Amino acid sequence: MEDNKKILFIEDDQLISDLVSRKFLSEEITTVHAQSGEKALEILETDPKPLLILLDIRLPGIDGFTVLEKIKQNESTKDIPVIVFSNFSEESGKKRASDLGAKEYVVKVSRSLDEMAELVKSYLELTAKP
Amino acid sequence: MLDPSNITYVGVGMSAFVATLMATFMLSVAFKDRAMRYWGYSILFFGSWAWISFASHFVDTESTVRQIMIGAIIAQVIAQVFLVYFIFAYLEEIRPLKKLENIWRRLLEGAHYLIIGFLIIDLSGTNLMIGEHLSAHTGTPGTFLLFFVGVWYVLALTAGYILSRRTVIEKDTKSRRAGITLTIGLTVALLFGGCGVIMWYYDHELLALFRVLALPFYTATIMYAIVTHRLFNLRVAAAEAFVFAIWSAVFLRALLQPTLAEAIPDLLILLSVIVLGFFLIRNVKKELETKIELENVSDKLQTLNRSLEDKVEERTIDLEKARRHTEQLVEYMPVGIIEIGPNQQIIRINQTAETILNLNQKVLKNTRLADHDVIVDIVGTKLTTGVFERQTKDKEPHDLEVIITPLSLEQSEGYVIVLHDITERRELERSKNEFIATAAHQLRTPLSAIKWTFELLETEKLSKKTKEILAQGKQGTVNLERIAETLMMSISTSERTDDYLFTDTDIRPILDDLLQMTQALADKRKISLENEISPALPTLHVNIKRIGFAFQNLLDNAIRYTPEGGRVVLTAKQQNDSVVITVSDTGIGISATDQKQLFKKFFRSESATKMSTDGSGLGLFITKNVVEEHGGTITMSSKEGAGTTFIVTLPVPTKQK
Repeated sequence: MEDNKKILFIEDDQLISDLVSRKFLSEEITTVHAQSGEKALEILETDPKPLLILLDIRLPGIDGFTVLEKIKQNESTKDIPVIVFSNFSEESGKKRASDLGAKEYVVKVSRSLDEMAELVKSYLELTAKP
Repeated sequence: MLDPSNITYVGVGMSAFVATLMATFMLSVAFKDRAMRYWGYSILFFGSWAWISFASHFVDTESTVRQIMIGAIIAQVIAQVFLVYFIFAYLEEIRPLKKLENIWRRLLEGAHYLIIGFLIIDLSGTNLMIGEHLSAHTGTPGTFLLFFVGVWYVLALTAGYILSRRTVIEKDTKSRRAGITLTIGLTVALLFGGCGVIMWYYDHELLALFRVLALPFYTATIMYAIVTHRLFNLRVAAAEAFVFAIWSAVFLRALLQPTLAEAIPDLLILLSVIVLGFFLIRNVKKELETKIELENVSDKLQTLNRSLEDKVEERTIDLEKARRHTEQLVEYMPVGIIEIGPNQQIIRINQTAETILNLNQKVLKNTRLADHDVIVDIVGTKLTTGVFERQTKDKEPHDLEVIITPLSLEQSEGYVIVLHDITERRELERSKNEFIATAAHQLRTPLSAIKWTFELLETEKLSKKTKEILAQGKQGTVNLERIAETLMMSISTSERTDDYLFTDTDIRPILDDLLQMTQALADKRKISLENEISPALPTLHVNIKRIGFAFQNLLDNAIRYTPEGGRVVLTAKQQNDSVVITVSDTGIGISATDQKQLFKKFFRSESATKMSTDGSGLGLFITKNVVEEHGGTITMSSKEGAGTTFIVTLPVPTKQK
């Protein structure tokens, strides 16, 4: 299990998170799911920290941008790469996410699960290298 | 030494002359006027009394003098009868007499006839009116003389009363003043004149003085009446006085001849003088009548003119009312209106415009447009005909639709600026678009879930049949995804809630990418996709995502509606200050009737529906919107069965020209 790569998936839609977890599991990636920004920040308080964060923008309570901002402000989490994983395709959102330090902005509906898994794996390999 | 009786004679002589002159004058000029005619007769008979009294001076026998004087008094009473006629006729001119007034007139006339009767009887020697002695100077009273005195004073009071009746009715000040003068003058003259008769009872100096005063008073009144009734004419008066003086002179000369034979030449002269005088007066009178007639015509013209002026004034008031009505309408109608004159000055601005523009101060008429920053911000300094939209720079900005239309004024050009506050409409559109955007976004999440479910299922071991069903399901999600994307695109840039960036970019790589992405579909449908993009294209100012969508849509359509083995060509080249991009195919073509509706929302041609079932009918509508957002145009030409060409023209930004 130690070999299992751990990522944090912040997503309010249960169905989506279940599907993604299932896919990632088949690729031996463990997914920790948080249904809200508040919950995610709580999880991030504990160790070990995830290797990668997938972040939805539209969330109940505090929104994805705020979560992103808080992650980047926190000394212990600021280095964890964040992929924004949303269904909002506006340029303004992409720019904002990138300004706040997100590595990538992915429009969910335009990607297949395979592509998603590929993307996540490529980032995990990047972090694995010292 | 002047004997008092001589003074009386001189007075009587003068009275005779003046009275006759006046009577002639009045009768010659005012004969047509009933009341004035009666008064003229009255004066004439009064003159006769004077002449006869005057004549009595030259008679020595006392009995003859008595007879002559009775004749004079009869003339005097006849003069009074005519005065009664005059007084009542004068009132009758403006209103009919009342029953009592009529009875009164008859009684007064009757009394005078009775006196005349008595006087005639007295000629035979009786003393009903006149006593034994009677000279021109004085006499003894008869039995009923007191009745005469009474009638005289009743006449004086009647004159005062009846004449004042008319004065009360008169409306204008001038007629009223004339009435008052006539009433007082005639009444006082009669009261004074009555003293002559009272003297028969009491010989008193004061009475004599009053009697003498009566004459100038009466004369003055008559003169006044003549003048105010506009009967006076200096030439007529002078002519009459002149003629009358000659008559009198010649007549006196004839009288002074010792014998009748010697008087004959004088009498002949008198005759000729009378004839000549008659013609002279007649001519002068005719002239006066012409003048009066002219004055009447002029009066009528003046009245007409005045009524015309009144009418003009009335119309002017009506027009002014109508003008004010229109102005009020314009002022409060729910669109802002600004009228600009030929020198760029503000002719009118209505209240709605001031409210819409949130002007704190009233815009003064005829101030220069350029001096009003708020208005200039909206309409610009150089006015050009057209319709456009602007936003005010308030804290709460308003969306305005501005319509500028030229206005033909007298020989010069102005403009009318109409301002529509379309904030609410825009707000509504915004919320509609927001709704569409939200709905499209919301669709994406479950859509992703379905899509990924199919994907996961595919990895499982499935029968062939199940895999086929799965493929159909997947296609459904692809279609649904495209519809959601199209919905997002249908919201044009200006109406979108978030900002889509326009950037200066080379369009060639965008088009190349599109061709590459479409290649798969073209291969699948066995269609040759040809790239004829000119290598040297200027930089364009575009929204990459949206312009990409527009051309993607044109390419997709071309491939989709072209049968297998066909060709689809994309060309792009610079033409003057624009870039022309065409997408042509060898497809099914579009019928002439369908071409007209092609760019409408949700329109799908019959032939297109037959070939492909999953079009949304939004593609070309959005493409057209996107092209127009970029300041470009889109046209098409098509022949059924031969193919279709779409021609998009995009402007090159100004600085690169």
